[in-house]
Amino acid sequence: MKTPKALASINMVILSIFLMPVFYMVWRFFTFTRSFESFFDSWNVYGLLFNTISMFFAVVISSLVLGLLISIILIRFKITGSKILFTLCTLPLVIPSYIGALTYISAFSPKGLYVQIFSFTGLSEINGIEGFIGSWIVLTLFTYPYVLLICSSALRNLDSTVEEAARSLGVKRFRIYTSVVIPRLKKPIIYSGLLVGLYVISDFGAVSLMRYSTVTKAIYTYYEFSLLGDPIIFYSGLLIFLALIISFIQRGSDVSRSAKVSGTPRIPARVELSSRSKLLVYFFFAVVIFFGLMLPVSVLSYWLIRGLSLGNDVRAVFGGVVGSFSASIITSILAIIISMPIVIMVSQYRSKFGDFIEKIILALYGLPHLAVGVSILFITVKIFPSIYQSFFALVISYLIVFLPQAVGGGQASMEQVKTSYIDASSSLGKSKIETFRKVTFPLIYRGLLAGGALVFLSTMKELPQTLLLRPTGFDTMAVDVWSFASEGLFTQAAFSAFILLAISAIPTYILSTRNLSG
Amino acid sequence: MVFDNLIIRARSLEKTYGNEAVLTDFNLDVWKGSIFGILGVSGSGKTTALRLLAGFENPDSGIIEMYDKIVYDEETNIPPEDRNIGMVFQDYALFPHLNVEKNIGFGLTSKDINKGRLEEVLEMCNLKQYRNKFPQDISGGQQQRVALARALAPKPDVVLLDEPFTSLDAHMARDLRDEVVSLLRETETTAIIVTHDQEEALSVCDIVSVLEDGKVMQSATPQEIYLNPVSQNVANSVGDPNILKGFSKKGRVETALGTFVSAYEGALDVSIRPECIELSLDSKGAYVVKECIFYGHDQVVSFENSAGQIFRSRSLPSTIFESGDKISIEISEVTTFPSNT
Repeated sequence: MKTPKALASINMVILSIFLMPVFYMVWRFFTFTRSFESFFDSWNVYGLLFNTISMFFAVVISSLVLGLLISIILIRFKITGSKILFTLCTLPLVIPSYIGALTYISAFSPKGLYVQIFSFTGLSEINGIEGFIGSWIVLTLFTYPYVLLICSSALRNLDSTVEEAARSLGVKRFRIYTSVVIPRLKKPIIYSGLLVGLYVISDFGAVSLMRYSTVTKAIYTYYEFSLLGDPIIFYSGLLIFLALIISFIQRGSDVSRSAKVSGTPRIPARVELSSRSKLLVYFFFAVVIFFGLMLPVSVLSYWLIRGLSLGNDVRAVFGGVVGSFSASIITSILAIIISMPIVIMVSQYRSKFGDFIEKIILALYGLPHLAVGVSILFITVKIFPSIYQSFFALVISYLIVFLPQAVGGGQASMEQVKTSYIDASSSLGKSKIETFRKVTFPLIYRGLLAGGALVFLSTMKELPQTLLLRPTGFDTMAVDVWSFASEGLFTQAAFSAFILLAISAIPTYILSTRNLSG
Repeated sequence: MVFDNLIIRARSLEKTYGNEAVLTDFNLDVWKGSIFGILGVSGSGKTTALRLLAGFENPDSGIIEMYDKIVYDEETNIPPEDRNIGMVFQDYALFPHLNVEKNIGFGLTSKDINKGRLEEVLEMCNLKQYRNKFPQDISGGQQQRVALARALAPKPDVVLLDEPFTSLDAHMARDLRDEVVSLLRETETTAIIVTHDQEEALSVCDIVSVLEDGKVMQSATPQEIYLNPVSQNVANSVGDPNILKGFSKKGRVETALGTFVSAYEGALDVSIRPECIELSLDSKGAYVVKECIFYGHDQVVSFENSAGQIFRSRSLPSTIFESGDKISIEISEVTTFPSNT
């Protein structure tokens, strides 16, 4: 069917606004006042790139190992309480990396919970939970659940006939995993590994609290020192470039598009473990759950109770709560509205333009928030000074990175609306508007709401764009956590972090597990 | 059956997608109360024809009239919702968020429902006990009934059925087909059925149009189409005849199976339906049995002549033929067409 002209032009407008940050970045790249080589000479470009890339590999590898190991243990072996263990192991994904970093730094600080607990041994502070090691631990613990969710659902659907064939050919039980199982999980492994990788290179909160110099941290430092254009733009461009490469490779291994084996997969029987191995397995889970969940939760609760009993004023964080809510509600409503024409275009009218929009939207999803924030910042400073540091510019910046979530939600439900439903409705005498009201909308509103809810939660937790673009005096809980924590005010930081988690944890968990485990 | 009232008339409909002509010079006349069949293989343009009539798509040119009122031409284009044409979709297109009752009532006004039309339709289609179920919770056959009930509820002038029985298994399709046909007859509903199934088209419809590559090859009663196909292609699409090449001189044509009378002169195709060839065991016969496939109610025997050409005969399974048996044949009926080549 031909796309109506009005719909196509609305989409063109949306698309051009959303591509503005990328176009601006490209334009700035061609108009640098200095030569390209001089950047590499005068700044520590190689050092920063090395740090970012080594963090990328370290976290991707450790997350994959941890996520795959847990998937295999929980799905292929007889473990009592495997469902609860699975939930506990996936729960850390609700903790934003900067809150994770806050808990790790503060736990081992002089007044921190774990230093207090072990003070009888003469411990006064644990050094070393910062820099590379600290960032690595924190980023691994709060990203491996993505690998776990994606790979475990793939593993669960893996037909075991091939494994049986391999065993009948004489391959030993544990070699089966390296020779047959893991090679067959190649796509989900690459997909989830690169998802983690995207998260790592874009991460700003954890590495900056851990004082580990990566590209993102450099961008923010330059921003704080002075609004010097060239280095900020240069590093942001570099970051976007890295992210686009990663997300391009990742799209190629999208699990949902790979061919499925027909019929119901044969599920292999769970293997019984010896009691010694069982003990080892439970110990392993205890360690993972302690570091991923217990430690952050206990530390936040400790600071909260300590602060309350010392009479610290909680009211200081209310501004952040109000700010977070207003920004999130407005962004999510706008995201739902703006996603509608795109969703209708992409799912109801198969056309080249529709496919193009879909690709762009997918690419936007991988854009590092900090780089988009930088771009919007410069666009507002240089081109639209009237909206510089305005709430409006902040919301646009949020929309650019979170719109894909709303589109995804709408699109998934729009796929249920077959064109024959629309035809059926009109053959039964209903006008286009009536058809939308009685058929299309009832079928898609849940998906739109789910997408909107995801945007709401993401906006609430967003840090780097908020830091760069917020109007003076405007705070969100995420900003509070970050700024209190970077000043060492752990009690106040913990208040905000606690409220943020209390509001977002459960819905984030429900929505992410639903989306990722397909 | 006497038809006195033309309900749909389509003239010279043309439809092209890109460079591909899907329908060329498509004409159709449907009489009130009749069941009209459009028979064709997939890709012959039959679904497109239906969609043009319903108004989901517009022809590039041509005229569609209903009751002498123009529905589509260069100036007029009545939208599907105002054509009063019901449609049963191949995938049924039942609304998944509405239960059976709401699906059927979708096209009814609240006034219709108050007058008891919904109950009437539920009763008529035997769907009362499913009224509160959702489409995904009932069987394929029930879904098909709901789709028909929904289309019939607003009392459309004509119902279009797009391959209505292909998604069902063969046995259920036959039962449901009988049920649907008697329902259409009882309610005196005019219907157009699109199908690729020759048996369905021949047994159900009053008039059949054979469509090939977007062109109507022949439009006539099932008997006429079967017994007097106008071309080899039509003959092929309603049976599996033996086609022989021949050349007619002075009204006689010689073929591999004998000499026949022909109305045409020159190069000819001679079509002989398998059931028109009778076989008998004959040790001096000119033909040899190749294979005999037994179907229960009948059997199909392949046999060859001395030149190695193979033909088929269909007969009651009263005589047993075995591979290698010598036979003689008797032909009761042939049809001749001027040759395509």
